[in-house]
Amino acid sequence: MRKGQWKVIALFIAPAFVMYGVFMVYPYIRAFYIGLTDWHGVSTRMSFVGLKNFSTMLHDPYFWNALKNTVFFTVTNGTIVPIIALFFAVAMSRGLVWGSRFFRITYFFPNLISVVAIAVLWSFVLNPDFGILSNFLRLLGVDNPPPWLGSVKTAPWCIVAVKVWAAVGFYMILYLSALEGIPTDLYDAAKIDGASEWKTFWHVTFPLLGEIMKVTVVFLLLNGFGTFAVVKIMTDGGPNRSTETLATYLYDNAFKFGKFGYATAIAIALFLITFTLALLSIRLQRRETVQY
Amino acid sequence: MPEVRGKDPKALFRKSVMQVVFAAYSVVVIYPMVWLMYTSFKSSRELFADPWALPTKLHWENFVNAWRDAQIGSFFFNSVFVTMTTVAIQLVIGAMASYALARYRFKGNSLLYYFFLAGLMFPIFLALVPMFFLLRDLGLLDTHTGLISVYIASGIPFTVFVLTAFFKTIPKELEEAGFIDGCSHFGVFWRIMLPLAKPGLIAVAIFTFIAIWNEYVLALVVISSSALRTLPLGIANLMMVEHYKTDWGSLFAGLVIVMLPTIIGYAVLQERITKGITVGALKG
Amino acid sequence: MAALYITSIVYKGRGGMGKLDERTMEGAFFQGGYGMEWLYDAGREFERAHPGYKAYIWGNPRVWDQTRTRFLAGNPPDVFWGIHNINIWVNLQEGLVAPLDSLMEAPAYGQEHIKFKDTFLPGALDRGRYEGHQYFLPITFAVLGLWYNVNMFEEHGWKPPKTWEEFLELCDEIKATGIAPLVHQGRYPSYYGIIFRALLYKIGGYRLLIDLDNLVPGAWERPEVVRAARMCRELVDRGYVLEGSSAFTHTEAQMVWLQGKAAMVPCGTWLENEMKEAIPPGFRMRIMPLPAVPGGKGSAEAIEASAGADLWVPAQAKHKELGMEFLRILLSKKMAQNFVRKVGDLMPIKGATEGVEIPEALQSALDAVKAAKGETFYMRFMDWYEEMQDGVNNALAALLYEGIPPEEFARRIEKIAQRIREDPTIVKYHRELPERWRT
Repeated sequence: MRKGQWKVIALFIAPAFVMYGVFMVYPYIRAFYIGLTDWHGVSTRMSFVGLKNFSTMLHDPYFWNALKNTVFFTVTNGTIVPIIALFFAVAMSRGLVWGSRFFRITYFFPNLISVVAIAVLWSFVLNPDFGILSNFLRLLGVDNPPPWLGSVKTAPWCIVAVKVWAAVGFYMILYLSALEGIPTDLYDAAKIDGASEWKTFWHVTFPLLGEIMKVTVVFLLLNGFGTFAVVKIMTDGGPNRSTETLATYLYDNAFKFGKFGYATAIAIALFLITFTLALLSIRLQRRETVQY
Repeated sequence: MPEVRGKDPKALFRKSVMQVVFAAYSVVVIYPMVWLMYTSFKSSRELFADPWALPTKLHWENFVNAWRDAQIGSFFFNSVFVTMTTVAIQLVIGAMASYALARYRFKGNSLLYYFFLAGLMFPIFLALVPMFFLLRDLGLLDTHTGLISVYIASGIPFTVFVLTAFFKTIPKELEEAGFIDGCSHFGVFWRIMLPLAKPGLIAVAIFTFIAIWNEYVLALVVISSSALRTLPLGIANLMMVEHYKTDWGSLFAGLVIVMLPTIIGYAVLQERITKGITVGALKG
Repeated sequence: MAALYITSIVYKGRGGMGKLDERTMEGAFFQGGYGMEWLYDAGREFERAHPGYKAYIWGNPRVWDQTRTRFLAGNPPDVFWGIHNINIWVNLQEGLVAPLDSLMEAPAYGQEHIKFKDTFLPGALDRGRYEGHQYFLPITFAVLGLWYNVNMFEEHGWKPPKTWEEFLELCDEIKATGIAPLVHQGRYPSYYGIIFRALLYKIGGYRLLIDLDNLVPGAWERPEVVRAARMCRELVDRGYVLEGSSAFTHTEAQMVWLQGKAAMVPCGTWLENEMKEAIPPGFRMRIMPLPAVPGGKGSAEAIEASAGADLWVPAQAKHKELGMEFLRILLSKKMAQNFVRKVGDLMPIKGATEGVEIPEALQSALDAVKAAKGETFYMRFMDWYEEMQDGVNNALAALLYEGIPPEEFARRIEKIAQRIREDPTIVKYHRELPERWRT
């Protein structure tokens, strides 16, 4: 360590540290306190109620419903997106389709658009009266297409579909570049051994993608857990709370019902879960990665 | 890249099937946007009467209405200003911190590193309310400065995460050489390290740009004056206003106006962006 | 890139409104179906009446979300009206709302010989009162019921039904022509609530409504409630409701109705104005009450009508007196007539319809109220208990589209009522049975 190095280090780290500490960490710490009050969010009056919010939460059937839905969106996000993205990426990298350049470019479009715009657009596409999906089905002879966002059976899957639509392109490109890093002699060796496409994928490609798959799946899980904008705009948690997530329930408690204290308690619960998930993912990352 | 020779019928069949699948999905991706575009030229009544039909008359006034009602002009510039400022400042201070963490060994290095990373796991909701109070106390509520500060803070964990990894990969000899030549610590950083980390910087810049450009929740809490709104707030607001006016044509037009810059920007910068994602992914 | 950035600095929006000076009155309002014209007009009148003073009026569909931070920061506007995500009764309890008593006692604008409070239609101020003080003022006197396509009805010789059997027969007839009898705003079940509440009244009379509002234990599980729920369901089960209704927003459902795909839609007197950009030329609409039910206590003419609780002056406003003065002008006879003329809806001010041509839709509402001979009703749980409102809406959606039995519907709501009853932190409200019902 050189002389005067401390000063340099401090100077380098200070600005980021200050910004982060003041505008991120401090509010989070304060948030923990609010979760212990009954604040209404309209005036500055708030009284300490201890852990009451948390006990209310555990007995709140809407909370558990929101948790259930959130888990549903999380799991679907973390499985469907990678599978589809991987499928496209592998197909393209193995030359199984023409015009991959075109697909590479266009599939990424949804990722450029703000999630708000996507949600608005799809609300219209899914409209049972003038939306293109229902009309398309009617053209094909389907008499009574479901009311999409209006039915508790179909609404959650519509949300999943929109989220997948919005995410796939980006992950596909990610996987593609990872795939391009796999040395061709491995494929040649597999070919010599007479392996089919599927076997090649399963025994050669997939293991080598392990690292990036882990990271992306974790990101997608975390993203799915925080599902908010799409639901808020397309269904506002309905119909009948079938698409309500922890995030939208939290928001409603804070901004609709005026229960900021309770909302913060839910946010803390949300945080604890994501924190645990993230910790688990770091543990997973510590495992051996395949060397080639 | 290993190619599958499509000479035998089985492979040819598979290739055609794939082609259909891919083509179908590209329709799913593109058609909604195309539909949005030509529907934005229709009047509300036309839309309800026949959703598929191409417009009989081009209702350009939809665009005028949307522009006016949504004040898209100033929203666009607000977004540009906020996003670019955030990215610029965040890159600089993030790079500085990452550099120090990556290249210097000192007590508490690990602790600081994980301290920064912890931010990656916090859901934004937790801090919305206290953040609001903080900004109010600092007099930064409803200001671009406040919003930018919050954006920078929220982007630091990711920036540090990626850039630290980058800086770690640079060989020590280059650094030593710099010092021998008489450079100060900052000189080494600025003239040697930073340029070498360019791919990483670009990757972070692109990620951050897209994220901030489309950010909605924080902006909703911080900004209340309509003059200061960023694009996502503008779209959401437009949706509300046109909804109440039953003017779906203008609503669609507004969405088109908002989508166009990003799509055009992408078409132009496409190579760069894809490279950025690639690099960021492999190193991070 | 750099050029873009520099341009943005030049063209970006300038911050907030800064501090408005002492002579400016600021009013923030919900921007929706009524538009903003009538408010701007009142603002101009305010400036005319008080030279040297300015009225800064602005509106937004999410005005409460936009301004809530200002309330927290202690500098709210001088006058306010918001409808989304706002709970004015919570605001009242938290001390955000200023009492308007001095305003009510002041002379009316343009009619100095009578007091402001006496210019209102009887009963119009009730919803905005609490513990003897006036806190909220109404903007409109709303009539709620079933709106029907007059041309369609006349063409087929259909008539508004007086009894439930006639209603079902009518629906069968309509259905036979291939048109859906009913469409509703599924995304917001509170519209179907118009039908539900009307049935509650027709079956159980005002006594029932009062007990339900007062959260009398077990009230929501009474057989009358179950019967009302069953009848609501009946309409769906018989196929009278248009496919896809469950997903429609209010404007979408109403749009579909305007296109003639359905004959009736539940709504209030704001309907015509809300859809005015989209109404096909020559379209005529009228309102009708829900019919009487066999063995029910409510008459066929009884209809839901009330003046709301909308406008208020924030307690921490910098210029409360200016805000109140603006209200005095906004709700004056002159501006009320302007409102009817421009918006086509009714302010609950005496003389609001004098010398003004009233559109057919509004006239039908006035006729319906007259025909009811004072038998109008309304409920209050929607204002008082946000959870209740939410719960009833969800239960309605479940009843109509998920097939839960009517008893289950009632049970769910009673459970929520019980939770509210037992929660000491929720302020409870109480209402009395109106005069004419007391025997």
